[in-house]
Amino acid sequence: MLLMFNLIIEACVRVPGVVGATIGTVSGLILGQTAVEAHLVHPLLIVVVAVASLGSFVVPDYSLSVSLRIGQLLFLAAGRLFGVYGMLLLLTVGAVRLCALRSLGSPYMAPSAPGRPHNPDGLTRGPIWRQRWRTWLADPARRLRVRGPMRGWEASHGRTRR
Amino acid sequence: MEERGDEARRAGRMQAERHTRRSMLRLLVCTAILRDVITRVLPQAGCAAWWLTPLLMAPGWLALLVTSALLKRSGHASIMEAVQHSYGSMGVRVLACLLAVGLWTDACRSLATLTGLLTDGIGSEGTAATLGLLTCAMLAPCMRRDGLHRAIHLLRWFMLALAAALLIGAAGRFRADHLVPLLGDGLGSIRRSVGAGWSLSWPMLMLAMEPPVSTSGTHARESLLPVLICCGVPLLIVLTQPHGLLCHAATMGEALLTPMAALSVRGRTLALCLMMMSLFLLLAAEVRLVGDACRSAVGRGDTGLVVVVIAAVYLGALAARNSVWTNVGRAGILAAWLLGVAGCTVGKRRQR
Repeated sequence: MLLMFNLIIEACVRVPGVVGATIGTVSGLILGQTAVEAHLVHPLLIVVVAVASLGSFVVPDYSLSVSLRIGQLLFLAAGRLFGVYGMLLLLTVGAVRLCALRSLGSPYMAPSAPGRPHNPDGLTRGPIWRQRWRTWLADPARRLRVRGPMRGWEASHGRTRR
Repeated sequence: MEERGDEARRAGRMQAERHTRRSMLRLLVCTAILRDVITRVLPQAGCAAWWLTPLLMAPGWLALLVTSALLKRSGHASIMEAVQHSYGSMGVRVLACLLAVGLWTDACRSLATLTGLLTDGIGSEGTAATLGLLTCAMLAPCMRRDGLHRAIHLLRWFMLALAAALLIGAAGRFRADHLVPLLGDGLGSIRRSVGAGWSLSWPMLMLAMEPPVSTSGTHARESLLPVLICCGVPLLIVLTQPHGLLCHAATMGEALLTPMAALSVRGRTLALCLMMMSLFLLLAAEVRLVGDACRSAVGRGDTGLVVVVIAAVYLGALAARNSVWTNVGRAGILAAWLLGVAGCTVGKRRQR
């Protein structure tokens, strides 16, 4: 089913204008309904494949979505051959592979891995006055942000954290 | 003092890498200890495991505290650095050999546990040999550059989220009266579990092999989280299940599945995923560290070394069910404990 869905997507990309979208919708509906009625696949599988394929379109970059679709096929093969263990192994090896990559000299998965001990900004922004050092990712000429107290008004009370 | 240019960048990057490497060591410590707790201590001690585990962990933690204090007093950041300073390159080689032997035996045990979980426990298709071969084949791409440290650093949130989901799912089934039969079926079971788990705490010493992340931090302070996890998990398992259920496991696979018996079907699947992933990452981390130790011992980098280590682990795991293996395993544990001895002697020697 995934292969069929990918075939439809590639056909839609290559057929221009409104015709492409129509082909995609009609062929998707017809193929899906026929496959279920002929008892070739379970209806749940259609839902899973549709959600998985829609998920690949969330990525704005087309080439990245293609690599995600290849990943889907790999996970499918691993799951079929070795079950949940195969999928977990592939997930782990994929994570290791992504973390080992470098892009323009910087780790591909930074700042998630390796982390930034002195700059803990992630989903939330940490207090800037506790970040005395600039992040190493940006390759700053001067890593030290401020020498002395980070907040001037605390200097007189001696509460500055170094 | 303000740092500039390449040196500052390198320092920042080194600190980040050290941070990720410590994540790997923490995972190693937690998973190795919990593996032994689940496969050896729980089936023997049953409900007494919640207080017996901290007791069995005490030697390793005390050794880490002593080593940490001595290293701090002598001004060294890690055991390896102290040995390098005191005994030179020969000392480093001997220490690397000890480390390699200890970790190799533990890696073999990890692989045997993982294949035991898959074959005896879940009942996956395939023999232990083929599943071990598949796992070893997947280990090779994990050894590339620093990917493993960083992936563990990244995946720890995913694993913690899984563990939190399991905890929330199991919280409704906690029964305080499971803690009451402290001695289980009598002192015999306690004695047997102490005998089975006397060696489980040595991975704590691995924390002293890397310098602390921050200059003000100490190894002892950084070991608190692994200690908390390793003591908390047996307590939670004991709270969910009565003594009789914990003690009935006959094989390793059954012992590994016992802690999940009280969970719902969905929770059991999550717990299995967490266990398989933790064991695989533990195995990969141990293979990586054995490779690094062998490289230090040999004195030169060799890319084929990792393949040899993986093959040795595979063969060791296949032999792990033989009686001969018991003696090899004991020798490996003894070698691992010598790391602590090395740390203590170095610290003392520097004091004079």
